Amino acid sequence: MFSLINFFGLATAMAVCLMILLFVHRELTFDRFHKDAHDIYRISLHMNIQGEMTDEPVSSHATGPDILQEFPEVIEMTRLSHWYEPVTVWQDDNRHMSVEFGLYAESTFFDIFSFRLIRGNPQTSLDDPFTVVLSETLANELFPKTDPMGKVLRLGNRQQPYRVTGIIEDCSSNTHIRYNLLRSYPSLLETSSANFYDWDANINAMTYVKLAPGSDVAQLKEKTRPLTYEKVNYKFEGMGVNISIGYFPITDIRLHSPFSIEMVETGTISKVWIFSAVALFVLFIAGFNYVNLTIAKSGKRAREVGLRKVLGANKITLTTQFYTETLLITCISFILGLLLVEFTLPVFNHILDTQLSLKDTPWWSWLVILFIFVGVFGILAGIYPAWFMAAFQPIKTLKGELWNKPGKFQLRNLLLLIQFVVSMALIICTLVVTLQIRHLYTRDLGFKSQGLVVVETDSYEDATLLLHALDSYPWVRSQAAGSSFPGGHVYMEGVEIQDMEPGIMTSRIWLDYNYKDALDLQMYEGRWFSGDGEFEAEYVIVNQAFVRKTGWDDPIGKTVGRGGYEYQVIGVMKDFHYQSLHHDIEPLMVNILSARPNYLEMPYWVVGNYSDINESEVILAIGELWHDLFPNKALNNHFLSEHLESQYVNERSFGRLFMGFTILAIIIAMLGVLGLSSFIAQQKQKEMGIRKVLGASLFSILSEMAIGFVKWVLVAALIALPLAYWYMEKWLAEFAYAIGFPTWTLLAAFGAILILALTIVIIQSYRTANTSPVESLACE
Amino acid sequence: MIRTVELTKVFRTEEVETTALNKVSFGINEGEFVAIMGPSGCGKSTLLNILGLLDNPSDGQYFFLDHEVSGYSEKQRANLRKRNIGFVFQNFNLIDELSVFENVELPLIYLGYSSSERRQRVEEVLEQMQIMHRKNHFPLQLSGGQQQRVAVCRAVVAKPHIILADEPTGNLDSTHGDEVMNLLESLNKNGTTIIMVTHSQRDASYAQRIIRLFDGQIVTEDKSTEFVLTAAAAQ
Repeated sequence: MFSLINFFGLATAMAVCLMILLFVHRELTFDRFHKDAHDIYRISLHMNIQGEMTDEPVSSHATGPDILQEFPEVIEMTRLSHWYEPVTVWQDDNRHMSVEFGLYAESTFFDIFSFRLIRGNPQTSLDDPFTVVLSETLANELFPKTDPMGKVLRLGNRQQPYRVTGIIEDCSSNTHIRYNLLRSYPSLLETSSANFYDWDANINAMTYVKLAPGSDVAQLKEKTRPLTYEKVNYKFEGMGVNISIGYFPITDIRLHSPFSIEMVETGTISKVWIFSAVALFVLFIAGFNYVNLTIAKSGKRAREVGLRKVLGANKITLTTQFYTETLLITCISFILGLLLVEFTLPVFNHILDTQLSLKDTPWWSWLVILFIFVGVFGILAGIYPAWFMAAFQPIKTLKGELWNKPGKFQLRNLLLLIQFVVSMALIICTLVVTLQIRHLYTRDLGFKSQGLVVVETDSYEDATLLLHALDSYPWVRSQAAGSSFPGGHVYMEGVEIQDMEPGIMTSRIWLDYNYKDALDLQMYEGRWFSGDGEFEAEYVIVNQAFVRKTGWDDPIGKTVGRGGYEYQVIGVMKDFHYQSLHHDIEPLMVNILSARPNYLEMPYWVVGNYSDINESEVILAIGELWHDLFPNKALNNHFLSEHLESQYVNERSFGRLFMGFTILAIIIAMLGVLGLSSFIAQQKQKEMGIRKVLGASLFSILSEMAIGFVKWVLVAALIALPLAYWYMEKWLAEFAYAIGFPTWTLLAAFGAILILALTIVIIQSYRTANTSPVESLACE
Repeated sequence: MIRTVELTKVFRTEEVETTALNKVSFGINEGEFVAIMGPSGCGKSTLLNILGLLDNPSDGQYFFLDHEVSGYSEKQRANLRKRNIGFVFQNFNLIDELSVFENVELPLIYLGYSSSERRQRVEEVLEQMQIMHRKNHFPLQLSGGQQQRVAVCRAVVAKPHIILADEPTGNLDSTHGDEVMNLLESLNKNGTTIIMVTHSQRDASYAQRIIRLFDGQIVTEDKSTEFVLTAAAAQ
């Protein structure tokens, strides 16, 4: 039993450490596999608009080429675009699928990054308009039995034909870039009507440059300043707007990205630190528990030691013997740990949203790790029990006397205390995080979020067609269209405000007449659009936050200017959460959808408010309707509630992480309790015997044992509860909308640890306490 | 006071069956001082454990204060034990972490005495045994003789009817040994029944009667004086 717990405890700890090792290694090596990774930078844009700073990881399509031409230290440049929206891929028989990360890329992509082109010529495959390079997986999927090279695909809603000119290896997961297919950059230039040679238009290219070895980035940044002025800043003189260019090392993107958008969700260096600390802590505690359990068990071996010594063994031979045993146990635990990792990695990957795998690491490095683990662990955890046992005095051990007298305060008590503190604090954090996430899900957002399906269309005409068609379905209660939907993308614009200098930044959306009722939006004062298309284009409706920002006393009738137009405010809506709850509600202005300039080629979102029907039926019906209306277009739809939930993926993953740590910490702490209580029970066996001879009841003996542990749980509570309270208050403060700290969680954590520890101590002591006093004293 | 009828104790392991006591019958009256003697492994300690209600016999009957207790549960035995029996062990069996006072106090705690009563009783008995000046010391700070004196204090503090002593002088030199034997003798004179297991003829000579065991059976029961005389004559 002892050995089993020992193996189990050690193997679990090793498994945890190995997984964390995999994780930390992956995080620290992100994007480092590219040749000259340290010389590759991404151009970023820093905009200062009247004191408000925004940092973007993107720049205009013109910025990269200009910088390449201007500065000799920039030796290479490549641009990526359109990573943020899926592209529809059409096959010959009109089958189509939606493919994420269908980027536009240049041939220099292969010069800067070390992604391998399996087929095709890296120098030329992306040179011509309307050529495409497919990832290996996608190529196999689209052309299962034929050679994809030279084949033609149709891409996007316009079904533009593209010729396959290359096959690229699948994108590895340890880079900030994602691709499934690469469209040639000239195709983008051909289809775009906008001006691509302005620095302040189409700011959506991720531009990478490779610098000559030894270049001074700070100096380059400084040198870019005049160029930026010449290209763009001169336009904003006197307007309080300034744009500057930055160079961000790609090797820092994973852990140090200050940008709010990235192709792939980034990590944080603090997460790496926290995990490393957890790994060390786990290993340390496992070692401590191992020592305790081994020493507790050593009573059984005391006679063996005594005999060996009588027969001539000395302390060194015995220490070596026991030490070798520890090394062996560590080795076996390591192998068990590896197996455990293999089986539990999918769960770990799910929690952390990673794709870790043992296979990524060469076999010999596991041998090195084994060597380090076993060496370090063996030294820390093996020496003491070995020395302890080898030091048994033969006469005493043969008589059965072995325990040193326990001191008042020992290292093992301190370690137990730490384990209790960590477990309790983590229980509290898990509860608070879970409650906060539930709060986010269930908070009144100021609009109806359930029973709404959202469908993307690519023109006002299509949207209108769909709205009319939905009319004939009895389960559609209402339907509306807009340029966005709650939680969707909104554009920020600077607007001029009547009697106010300068203007303000506001979000802007276009909604149709029915939108207010479909989403149950509320008016604060004034009125919503009347549905009379003639004059609506001149009107605007704002939210309360807009009014607060402008400081208007009487907003109705005031004017807002934008792009040479003046809009009159006809109503103020009550604030609603058109963005996630991470943000405060910011100023918003709403125009009538029919007045939206169509040339923008932005999507139109149709929202259907349904009832008396389940979700799968909705999906089915929408699918059929869509196919009838637009047989040659791909359908993109989702439920609003699901989309809103997806805004809190990070919090959920944070919550799961805490949950994982908590379970781990509790297991470890309870193993610690188990080890220590069995150690103490062994140590006190004689005392228990004496007490029983003198008439002590089982209950009084067990309570005596329990009190020793309850004391430490109480001390741990005094440390853990304020600590967790402080940390969680800080965490909750990051949310614009947070729950108040639930104080009952403090009590719950304390109670849980107390009950668990007591149960283990009592079960463990019960056997010793219940032993007949004759046996307890027989060891004399 | 104590009577056994064909008391038998068998220890079983997977392969071996050892009969430690084989149909042992005898009686002990109130106020007697009885020594149990015999070579190692003859069953002395097993007998003492059963008499002390620490263990149950495998067979036979055991009448303790007129109760047949051979089938008693541990709880029932513990109840009877703490009220009626005091123990003195060869190696004292004091709890090292507790002071002299606390060690002697233990039986009274388990009998539910109030703290003032306990203080009074403990101090009384420490005074009586002339170890009062050591009441705040810990066992390891005392000599063997002093430790055994504390153990005797603990055995008598609850005023038991019987004291069971298992080789009480086994770990002591002769001076300290005599001291302890004198203590036991004086307790016996004050009416306490004493049953003592010993190897020592010298200690046995304090007893009024000697029960001699061999291979789990009683071989002789004789008056200690006669035994001493016989032994002397034999020399």
